[in-house]
Amino acid sequence: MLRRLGLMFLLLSVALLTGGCWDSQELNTLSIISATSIDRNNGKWEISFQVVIPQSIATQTGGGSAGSQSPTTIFSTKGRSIAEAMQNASLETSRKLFFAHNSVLILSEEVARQEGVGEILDFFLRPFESRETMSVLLTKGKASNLLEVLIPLEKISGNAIQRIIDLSQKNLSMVQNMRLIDFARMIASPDESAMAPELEVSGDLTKQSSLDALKKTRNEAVIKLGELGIFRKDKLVGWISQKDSSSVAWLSDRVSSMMVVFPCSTKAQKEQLISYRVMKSSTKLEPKVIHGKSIIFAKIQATGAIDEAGCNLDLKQPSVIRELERTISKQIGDDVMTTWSHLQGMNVDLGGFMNAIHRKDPATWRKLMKSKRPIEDISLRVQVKINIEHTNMITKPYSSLLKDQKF
Amino acid sequence: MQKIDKYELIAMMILFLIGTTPLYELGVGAKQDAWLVVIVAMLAGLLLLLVYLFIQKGNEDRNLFEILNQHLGRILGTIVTVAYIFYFSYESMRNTREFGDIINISFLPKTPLSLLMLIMILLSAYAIFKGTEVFFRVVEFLLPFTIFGYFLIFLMFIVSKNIHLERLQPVLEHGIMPVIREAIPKVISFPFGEVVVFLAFWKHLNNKKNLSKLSIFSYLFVGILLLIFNLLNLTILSPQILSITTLPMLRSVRLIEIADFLERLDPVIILLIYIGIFVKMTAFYLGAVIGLSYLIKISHKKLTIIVGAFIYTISFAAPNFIYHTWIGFTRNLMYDFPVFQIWIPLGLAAVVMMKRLFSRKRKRTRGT
Amino acid sequence: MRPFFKSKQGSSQQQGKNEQPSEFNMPEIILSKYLDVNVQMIKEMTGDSSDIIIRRLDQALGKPIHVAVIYTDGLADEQIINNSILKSLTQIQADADSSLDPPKQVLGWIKHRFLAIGQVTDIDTMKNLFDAILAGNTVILVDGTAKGISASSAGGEQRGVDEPQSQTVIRGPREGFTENLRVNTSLIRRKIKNPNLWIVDRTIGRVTQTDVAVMYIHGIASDDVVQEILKRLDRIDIDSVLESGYIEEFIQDATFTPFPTLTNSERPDAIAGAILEGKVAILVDGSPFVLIAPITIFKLFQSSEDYYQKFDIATFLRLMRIIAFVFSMLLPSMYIAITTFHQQMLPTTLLISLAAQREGVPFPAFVEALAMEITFEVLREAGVRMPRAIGSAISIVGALVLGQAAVQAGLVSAAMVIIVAFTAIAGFVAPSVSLSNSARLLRFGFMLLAATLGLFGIIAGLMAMLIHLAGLRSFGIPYLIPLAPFSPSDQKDALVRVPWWAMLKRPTLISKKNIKRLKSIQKPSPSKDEQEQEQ
Repeated sequence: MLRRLGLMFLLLSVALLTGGCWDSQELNTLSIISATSIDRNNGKWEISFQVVIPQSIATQTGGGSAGSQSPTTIFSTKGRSIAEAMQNASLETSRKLFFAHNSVLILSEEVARQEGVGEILDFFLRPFESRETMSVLLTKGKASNLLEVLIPLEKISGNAIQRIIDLSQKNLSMVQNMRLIDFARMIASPDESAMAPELEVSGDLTKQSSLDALKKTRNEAVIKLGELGIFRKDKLVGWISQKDSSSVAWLSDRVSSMMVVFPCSTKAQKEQLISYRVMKSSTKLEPKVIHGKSIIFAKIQATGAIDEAGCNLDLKQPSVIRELERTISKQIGDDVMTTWSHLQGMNVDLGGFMNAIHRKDPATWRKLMKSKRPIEDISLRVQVKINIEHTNMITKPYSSLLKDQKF
Repeated sequence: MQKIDKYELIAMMILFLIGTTPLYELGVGAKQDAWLVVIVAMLAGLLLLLVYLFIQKGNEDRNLFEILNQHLGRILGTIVTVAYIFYFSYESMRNTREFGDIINISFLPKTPLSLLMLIMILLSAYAIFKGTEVFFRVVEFLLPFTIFGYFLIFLMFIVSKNIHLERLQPVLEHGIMPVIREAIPKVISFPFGEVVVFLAFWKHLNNKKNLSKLSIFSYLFVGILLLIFNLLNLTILSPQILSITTLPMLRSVRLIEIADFLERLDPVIILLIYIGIFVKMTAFYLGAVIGLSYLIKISHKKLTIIVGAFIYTISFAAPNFIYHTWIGFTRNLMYDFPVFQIWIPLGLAAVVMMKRLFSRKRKRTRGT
Repeated sequence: MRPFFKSKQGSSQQQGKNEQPSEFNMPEIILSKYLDVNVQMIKEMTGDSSDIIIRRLDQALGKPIHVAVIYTDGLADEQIINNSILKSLTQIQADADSSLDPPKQVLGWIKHRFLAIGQVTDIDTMKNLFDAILAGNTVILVDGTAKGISASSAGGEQRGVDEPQSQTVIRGPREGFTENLRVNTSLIRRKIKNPNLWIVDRTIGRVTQTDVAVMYIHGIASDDVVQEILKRLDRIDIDSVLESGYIEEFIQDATFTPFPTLTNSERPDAIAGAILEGKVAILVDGSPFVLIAPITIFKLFQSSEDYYQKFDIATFLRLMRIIAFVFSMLLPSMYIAITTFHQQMLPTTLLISLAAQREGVPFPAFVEALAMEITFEVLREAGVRMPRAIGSAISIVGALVLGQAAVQAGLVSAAMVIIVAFTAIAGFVAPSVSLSNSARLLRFGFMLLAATLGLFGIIAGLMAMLIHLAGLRSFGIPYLIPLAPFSPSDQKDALVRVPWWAMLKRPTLISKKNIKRLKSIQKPSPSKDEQEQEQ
């Protein structure tokens, strides 16, 4: 028996050996893609990949010499479907395109407006290789241009873009890192409008795309986050400004840290400003029906500190602080209301209002959904409560020391 | 005779029921109420388990096939036994094919399916070769690792802030009916009703006093575990994305990103799933071997080879994975499996009860 | 393969058990009455070997008695022979009144009145005579009687009790077993001063006549296991036993397994500890490696030092050993699987750095790993066989020059060198050499699986290994105890070690009786007076 079993295993291993290695691919047969962009061109999809050149990035002396080579290279291919375009890439690359490490997907405005993102999402959610955590971005011009920009300090610009978004999300809370899966979920959700941040190039693009650009101390062009693109169904319907996007962040409870700048007093002639940094915040949406009308009560609470004070105020006095808190609350409240009217105009729901109503009160939600523009039937009441926890390392403003100086 | 102890039974019960289940979203038809479906199905399945236990209690030292022949007579008993052998083989084959295809989709797209399934069948056959006792011991050894693995994944979901509990609302948006319709008989048949195969193993337990307590305990434990994973998928992926996803758990796990280092953990979940698959397909395989050994008296090893070859052959029956899952979820779970999991055991229990009543009455009449 | 054939031979010989087929078995020749005949026969049978010393005395005890003193040079202690035997025979005068007849009595006199030696036995056949002198004893034959006496005089040059070479500890006894069976049994007996420590002797080896001793504590060790071991020992029919490894391959449960079902130790304290847990030790004369049976896989991860150190560090080290074992078995295959099948698992920066290293490497990762592993195994073997003086040179040439040069030449990637080096070091962590050997062999199998099927191959391999382990038994004890079958009380000394005062029971599944180790949990606490003082 033992011998027969042994024979079986021997046969099996021989079979494995002779036929084996169907799926193995060596590292040096892959081209690792770090960013992808999608454009439309003459009715065809145009896809560009930013491929990492490992030798020029790793400091190890394995293969070629580092430094003289550009860290990434770009391929562009065309096709009737995205998958076809992808297939056509093998006409020009020597290595298999490897998508698992793609961290950024950039869509041009044209694609998002006219074609919609449904097909793109299907393509990126389907294969096993692609990762759902890649960031989705929009751009107003040609998307592949963004792949060409070399980013100072960074070698792989795809990863760098993702880090830019992460950082600005953490510090400014204006843009939100939109993972592919979240984006897909928001597009598919009946109660939510999707959004995606815009990426733009400011400066002279052509000069920043050659390796010489990195030799200069001041960059010719930089990649910057811009406005926020708003989707209805799977199509881009408009943009909202950075200011509006901070209000959206307030409404959708996504503020992690933010700088609020406001005048010391409304009466002062010269514009004197105080900067308040939000450190912790929470927003609660409470849908209610009053007299047959849906009203959302948004309760915003924030705690933070004074980071800069340009005017002469006695910041030691609780009454002064209370006054400041009231000013900040009012400003945030006003901003949010302005943004809300913009959103109502566009008939999009970025604050998750419909979600809130659906979860709390399905009956009202069903009634609202019958309407053609349900967002306009909702009104918003904002209640902001700001707390200034401390004023950092100094109390009174520095300028208060200058007040009594004679010379 | 081969003996198993209580820990082995618990481990077997737990891993068997986990099986492939975490991979699928049970009751996804009820959208955000899928987790309620699991609870309902679990409670309904508990009743079934009680029926199975009732059958076993009345026939302590017999396995399913012996009970069948004892109570249904030789001809009917043999027919039902043969049916059960086919049912167990079919269930085993379903798991084999499923995992083979999962590996093909998610891991090794070009590796031939036939080889993957051959490897799995060989491993199962190897375990059965070594006997019931060894197989149960293997399962017992795997249990702590599996539970630990799932726990770790659960922990990472929490740490990576992927869980959004608010996605479960509104609860019962369309009333309770969609939930019940999803639960019965679909989710009962998979996975809870599959416990029927334990009727073939229970007689090996060395201390039968605890049988019911142990079985119910491990059943509830698994139920809670499955509930947690159902909830995780719902809160991580949202009902909309879930409804179009082939393998939800695989997708959820891929969203874990911790400290730029722990990401793309799908191979880990594949490993865990494989443990479940292995236990389940081997258990059904073993059930079929035990059944066949009741009918044909040849050596255990030959039976293992025969049944294994049969399972391997029928695993090519479905032309593709789509057809395989379609027939599984729309036909088998609705119409075919309930016969073996619900109707026959209920009938058997009724026969056992009748016989007991009669014998008691007879005793009483004899007494007076 | 060799032992496999041998066991087959053994089983075929089982049928004719009683007829000893060997030409080497000593014929049952009874000693002659005449001394000359006996001496002549001894000379013939030994081929007049130079180390068999036959000292003839024409006058002993002051009387004209012909006596021969026979011993083996080198095995017997010459000092004892000179001082206690020859001196008595030549210098002491027998009482004048004692008559010389019958000569039989002379033997009695010598035995009872003149020999200043502890152990003296009668012998009457050639076989007994040779057994005695080859064990180092001295035989005295007297002309006129067909009997002799053997006086124990074993001695000669022996290696002293040294620190064990293969298993070193930081804390613990420094003594190790020697090649002498009696010294070894005494080392154990010194640790367990209890009459219940029983020794059963067997002689195995038709030519070598090697002594084998089975040691266990009567009342703790399972009788079934002891009987099974003795039965298996009795079954052995082999010409020679030079080391305990011979015995091991005959009595182990499964031949076709990379895992040991018996382990060995050079440390008396480890053996004593095992015996106290209800295990059985098998000592073989001529080998400092004592076999222990039955064993379980978790026992192989334990070192005797675990019990001398604090329990927390001991537990930590045990877990580290298991992790290191897994690494030494799986690391190269994991590397192959991940870099050639599942590149998505790696963090992006790591992937790129690995990809950069692989640029220009001419071989596939599997071949690269295989070449490096084989290189390492060759280096390792060379390191063991080399004279000690060149050993360090080899390690420098091998590790530094070869590795560094290979990387710089672009033949292998640096990551691979790191992997192989770490694998090698992890392999040395296992306290039992037999366990690290099993990892060494399995490593190649896993590499093959990883190269063909990636992680799925590794998973399938692990599953097969687990089934194999679950089916393995060591003298009737399941190999995966106490995890499968699970035993709650045994968990205290398996993966973890709890403090001594909490280890209430001996391993329950090995020794079924008398499992109580402590009377009660004796958690140490400050005495009451001290507590009161503090308050």
